[in-house]
Amino acid sequence: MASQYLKADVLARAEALGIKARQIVEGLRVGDHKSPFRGFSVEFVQHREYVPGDDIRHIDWKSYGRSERYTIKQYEQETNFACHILLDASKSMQYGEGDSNKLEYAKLLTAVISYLVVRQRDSVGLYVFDQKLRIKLPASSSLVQVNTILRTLEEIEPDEKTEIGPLLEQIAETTRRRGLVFVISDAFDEVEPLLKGLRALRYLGHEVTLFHTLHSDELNFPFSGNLKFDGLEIPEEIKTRPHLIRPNYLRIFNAYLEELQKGCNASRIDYVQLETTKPLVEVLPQYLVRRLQMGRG
Amino acid sequence: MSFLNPWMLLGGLAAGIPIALHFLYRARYKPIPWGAMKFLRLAVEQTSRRLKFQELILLIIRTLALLLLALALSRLTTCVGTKGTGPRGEAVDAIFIIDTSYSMNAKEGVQTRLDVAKEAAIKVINGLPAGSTVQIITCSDRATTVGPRSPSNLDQAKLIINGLKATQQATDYLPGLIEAVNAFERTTGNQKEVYLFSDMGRNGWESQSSAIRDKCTEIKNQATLYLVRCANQPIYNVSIIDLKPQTVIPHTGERVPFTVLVKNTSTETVKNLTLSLEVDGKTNEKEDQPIEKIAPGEIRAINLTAKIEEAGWRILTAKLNTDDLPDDNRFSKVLLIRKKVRVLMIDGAPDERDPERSAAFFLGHAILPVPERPAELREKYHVRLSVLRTREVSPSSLNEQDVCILANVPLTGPNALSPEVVRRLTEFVKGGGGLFITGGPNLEPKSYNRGLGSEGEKLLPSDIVDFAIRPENDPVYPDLSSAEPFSFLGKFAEKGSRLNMLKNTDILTYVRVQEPEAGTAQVLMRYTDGSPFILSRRHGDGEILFLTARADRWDWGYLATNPTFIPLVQGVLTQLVERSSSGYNLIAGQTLRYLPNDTNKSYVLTTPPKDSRSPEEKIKLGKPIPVVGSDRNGLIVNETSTAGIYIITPEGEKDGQPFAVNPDPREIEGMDPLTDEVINDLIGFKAIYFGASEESDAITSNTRSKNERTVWILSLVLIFIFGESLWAWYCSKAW
Repeated sequence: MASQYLKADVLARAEALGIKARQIVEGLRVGDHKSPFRGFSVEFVQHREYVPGDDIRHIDWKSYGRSERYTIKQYEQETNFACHILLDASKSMQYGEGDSNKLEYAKLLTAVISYLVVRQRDSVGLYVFDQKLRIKLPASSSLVQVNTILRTLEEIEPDEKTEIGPLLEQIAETTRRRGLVFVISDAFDEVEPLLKGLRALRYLGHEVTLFHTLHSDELNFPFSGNLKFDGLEIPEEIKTRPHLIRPNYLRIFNAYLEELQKGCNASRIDYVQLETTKPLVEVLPQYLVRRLQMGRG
Repeated sequence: MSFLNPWMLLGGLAAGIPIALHFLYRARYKPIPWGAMKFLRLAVEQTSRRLKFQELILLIIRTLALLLLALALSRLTTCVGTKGTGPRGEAVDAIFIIDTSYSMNAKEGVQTRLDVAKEAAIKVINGLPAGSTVQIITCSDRATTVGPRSPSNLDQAKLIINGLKATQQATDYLPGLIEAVNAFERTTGNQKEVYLFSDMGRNGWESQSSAIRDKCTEIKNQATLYLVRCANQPIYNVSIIDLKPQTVIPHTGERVPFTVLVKNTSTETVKNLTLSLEVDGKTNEKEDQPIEKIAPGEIRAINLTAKIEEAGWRILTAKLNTDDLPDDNRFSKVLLIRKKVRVLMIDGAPDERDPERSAAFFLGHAILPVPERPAELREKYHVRLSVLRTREVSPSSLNEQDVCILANVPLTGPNALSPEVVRRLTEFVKGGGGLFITGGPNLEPKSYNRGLGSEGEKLLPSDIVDFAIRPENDPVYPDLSSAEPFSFLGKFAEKGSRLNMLKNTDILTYVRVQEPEAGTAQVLMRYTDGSPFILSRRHGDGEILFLTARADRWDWGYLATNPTFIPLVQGVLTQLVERSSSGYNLIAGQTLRYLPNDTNKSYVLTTPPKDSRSPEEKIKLGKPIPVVGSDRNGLIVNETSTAGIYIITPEGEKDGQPFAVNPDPREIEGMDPLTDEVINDLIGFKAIYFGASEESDAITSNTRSKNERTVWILSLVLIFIFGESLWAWYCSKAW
């Protein structure tokens, strides 16, 4: 556990809040989470009309006595859930120095989430991708899984360019079991394919969260002087005087953010923008509080 | 346009700084790895054209601002020389054009206008900034740069100015302006100034106004032009404009009448003048004639007689008592007084049976108006007449003749004048002989035009068209009002003269000629229907007079029997004889040409004194040299700017050939000064004027500072800087 990605202060506040799944997830083990499979537990939820094919053992005869209608009793059942973390390790994630490096920030976030999920006795899996899926760690709830993830994170080097959309569809096909999906990426891809991939996950019943990891430079474009921008993902260089193009860049970038955010909202995908210059210790709790509030609501 | 601190123009190289920085910064880009290339590329694509344009504008503004700054520091001045690039600061290259035409000798109080001009010029020199140069050009109808040898030697310039004397030439500013433009080549400074010191007479501006306008514009483009007025008061002046014999050939032994033409050139009536005429400076035999008054602009012919005692070259001088302009109060004429004037008359229509019907009959009697008996009378008479028939004439017949008369001479047919004689006539006239052609039925147009006219020897003043025949009850008459006043016919037109009777002469038929082209010939008198009566043409040193009426029998009219016929013929002879002396009577500035008989001798020129205080000068001319246009060696004298008598004498001998040089008569035609406005109109821009008595320092200093554009350019620099700031701010705070 002595990984650089598990910082004590981060973990302390994250643990205090825990991760409460807002949706009911399917679990293999009984835990704090509610199963989507209603019917066989002690906590009654509702009645529904009997339809041929239903097990007659679940008919509520008391209700039949009152209403002379066959009804089935449904119950909620707390389950374990599977959390899939999809980490973008493309070269564009390499941007930023020190703590503000996007990939490092994303790795930290991955580690924290993994730890929290496992500590809740839920299972967590990791997918590392760039243009293609590079690493796949199937979900597991054992504490060894955290170690495995942390080791994996430490070994990840950025490579290739982001092409997240098709990849999400590919991952969706392999994770049929519904759960939580955290996509951690700068999402420098075409918006439509990306949304398409996210919607594919969502279609399978996953609760999808996009941690849009961005550096403040990318958000604010605060440069001046004569700069030569060398493409991290593609061999391209652009020489310009950035202060002169800043308004245009911000307009284009904000339009992109707006389009992405709107697309996510429309598909009920949780969109979380992370600015790597803001410490995770402040950002993550805020997110979890918001998530919890939404779950209770 | 020039610069007072031209070295500061090197500061213009600073304009390269923004350009260099532009390229330097473009070359030096700080690399930065970047992931969001897609958005950056889009932003650049959408912005780059605008950015490039904005950057270009900024670059231009900054470059121009620096250039203008350098321009301001180099102290750009306009209206000054473009060629001057030397580091001489505010030093001025002044070029003085000083009018030395004879109107500048007019009195301005106790001084002459030239004295006023000299004082003004010296005042300008005293006010020139340190290091300035001066070049002095004298200008009449020609210009000469008179110094100083070193233009920076201002003391020498002052000495030269003080020593200037007026000429008797007319005013024409063009040569002076041309010389001034040429003088620019000899300047090295930054500021050029041209000063014209003159009375601003109309003649000087208008004689070649178009060329003057061009030249002034040229000067304006390179220098500042100052016009310094040296005349404050009008000239009270009467001028002698001509002296000529009347209708009597000047001869020895008796007083001969002369006409002296005087003109009041001033704007007010001049009173109580006395005109005198003397021969060879002998004042004891001079004749005086008082002129009570003469109205402004009036030309009056005054009759005076002179007694010529000896044959040979005589100098007649008419003098007027003093007025404001002394130069034209004296007029000299050199005349060759012959013991006998030799006249050859060729009779083209002799009639032996009835001599009165001969073409030569009446002419002969008019030429020799003395009885035939006793013979001594004709022997003593100052004209010797020879009459020959056409067939008797040979080229040698013209040798030793002064005048030849073609009386109704045919050029075609059995009695035609031979072509050799016609050709000899050309030489005869060119050499100073006079030719008188009278009309008649033998003047067949084709043969005359081909022989003597435009298709032949070009002696006829104008080609013959045909014979104009008038009805008997509708004759034409000589029109006295058309008489050329400066010819011998002027006398016939004088009011009250008995010679007015000429106008009563019925002319029924005359030789109709083409109207002569201007400059080739002159109509001296016309008929009342406007056709030429007598024409004149000059050829070489001689003259041809053409009488289109018949001078013999009276079936063409009654000229030969008119009482004025004898004076008319005498007048013709007088003019033709006088004309032979024309080469010895010059206008100031004309080239004096002398072809001596003895070309082995060396000659000396005695020039007239330049003013009353100067002595005569003697200049050695050496031996005659080949002269252009002559097969004989001769002597050429170009410097005849001073009016008076010039004498060329064989070295060591006493007697020589006199030449009379008189003031240029063009000067009196336009001595009235033009106003500033009229001059501005003529030259096409506003020159800077000041009076000679004004403080030139203040005016020139003011003009010099006005010409400097530093303040304007600095203002422009500020505007550019402000514009740059605005533009940079507009272009997203590019600073």
